[in-house]
Amino acid sequence: MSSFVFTPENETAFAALLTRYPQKKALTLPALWLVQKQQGHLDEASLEYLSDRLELPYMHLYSVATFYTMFRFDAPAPVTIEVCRTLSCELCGKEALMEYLKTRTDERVEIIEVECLGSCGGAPMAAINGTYHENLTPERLDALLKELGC
Amino acid sequence: MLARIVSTHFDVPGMSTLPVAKEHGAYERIAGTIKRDPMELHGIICDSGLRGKGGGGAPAAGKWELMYHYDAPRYVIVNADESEPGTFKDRQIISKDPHLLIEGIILTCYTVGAHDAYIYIRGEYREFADVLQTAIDEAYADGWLGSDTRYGYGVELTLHRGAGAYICGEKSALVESLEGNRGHPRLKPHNPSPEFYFGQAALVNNVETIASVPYILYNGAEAYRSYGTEQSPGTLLFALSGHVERPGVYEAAFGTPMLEYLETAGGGVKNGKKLKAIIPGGASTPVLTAEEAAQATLDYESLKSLGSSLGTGGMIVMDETTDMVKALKNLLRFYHHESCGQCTPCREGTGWTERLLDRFIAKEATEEDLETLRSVSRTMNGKTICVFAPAASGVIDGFLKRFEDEFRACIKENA
Repeated sequence: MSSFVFTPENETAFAALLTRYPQKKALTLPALWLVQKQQGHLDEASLEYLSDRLELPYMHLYSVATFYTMFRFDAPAPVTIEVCRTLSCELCGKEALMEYLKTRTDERVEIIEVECLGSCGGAPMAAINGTYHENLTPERLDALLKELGC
Repeated sequence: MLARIVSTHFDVPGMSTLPVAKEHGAYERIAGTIKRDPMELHGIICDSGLRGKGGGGAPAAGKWELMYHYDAPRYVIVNADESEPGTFKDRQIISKDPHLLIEGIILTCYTVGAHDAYIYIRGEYREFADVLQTAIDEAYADGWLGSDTRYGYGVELTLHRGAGAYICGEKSALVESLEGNRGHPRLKPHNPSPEFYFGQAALVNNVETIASVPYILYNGAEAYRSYGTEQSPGTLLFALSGHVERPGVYEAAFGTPMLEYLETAGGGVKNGKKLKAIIPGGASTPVLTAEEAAQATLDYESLKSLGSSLGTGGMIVMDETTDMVKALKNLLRFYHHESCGQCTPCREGTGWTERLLDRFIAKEATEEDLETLRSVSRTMNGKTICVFAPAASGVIDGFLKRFEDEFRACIKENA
């Protein structure tokens, strides 16, 4: 089995987190975020590692990690596009974005439809590698992808 | 109508940075204010009639008062898990005037006797969390946060990121998540009670509620009450999205007529089309017809009397071309996706109703499907741990009550 350890930078971040909460269990989400930041996704080795560091059952970490949609167990593509599909975005033309994205079969691009990202005033919108882009059109989306070399 | 209490400095360039914020008076009046007795400050909040701005609209002072009955350590937890469709107001405060929020947290901590505060921000708001974290770091470096502050009262503030779960905006689910668990809402006690963070009393308030505190404590209850109505005093960061000329967040006094707000702040319905319906305060509030919207004023009482509620004040506007069956389907998909899965009526009901809507959209529904939809909706109402399923039920009933014709037109025999 592969193994996991925090980078020195994340070790420092972890130590700082320990001082911020009354109990170690509260570090569950922040620590999962550190792992995901470090290697892009979670896996068995990293959860085993956190289980030791936080003195929590492996199953607790697995249970929590699988509850939240932003934690993932597979490596992300270099470019991830999260398209908001909830009502305001649907009313304002999210479908046109999806039609355009269907033509993008590039394996470097991962397309995910997500629920409301809290950007309804700029509908339709999408987050590209986590950064919000509002008032999108297929043309703007195309330009943004070109900037990223896709 | 339009007012500026929380959004006063939203348009100031660089307001998220400490030097600019201080030029505009940030933190200036903390030292003077905390010379006063906490109970006196609580009295001001009480007199102001401040109501929780996250959607529930419960009097803030009542929630704060509960804290005094419990021993230290007490916690202040700020709910920045803004995920209600149609709502994007808290992120304006977080990204445009984060020091106002921090100032509100300091004053709230002092008033309820807490030294530790957390801001629980939704995971997707990474960019806004970065702005807020920078502001927190600045406030620490400049002696406004920490154990040894300029004003002599210690406040430790930690920004905590969620990871994609709508239900964590429910206050007890939020505390569960902050403890490191799945975001499952807790059973509510019968008596008024605060939340408990690792067994200690915790005050959970929305970002905008906390950001309203500095204005109220500095200017007094009367100044706040000079806006709004008797029962809904003050202002709210109302928002417009959907078929609107100028969607966005515009602060306004409670009691503003809904359509006047839509016209003045939002420039009316997009492309001069006719208004069909408005969801008044985030997806979870029952939809209003154009006729009802014409009677509505933006306060808790008016919307309640129309069979809906004010919620977060995030209005979703739908023009005459909107297919209401598809709109409901969109919302039910949302609820199905976001149900935490704890209670059977919610876990099963949200999926069942979403699948039923597919039959309506395919125009293959039957009379029985319509009855099933109503029946599942009834089963979801009032039989679960939290208000998620009752809200979904209210959404279904709202659409069926007001736009039944459109659903009937999807029944096979009628199609």
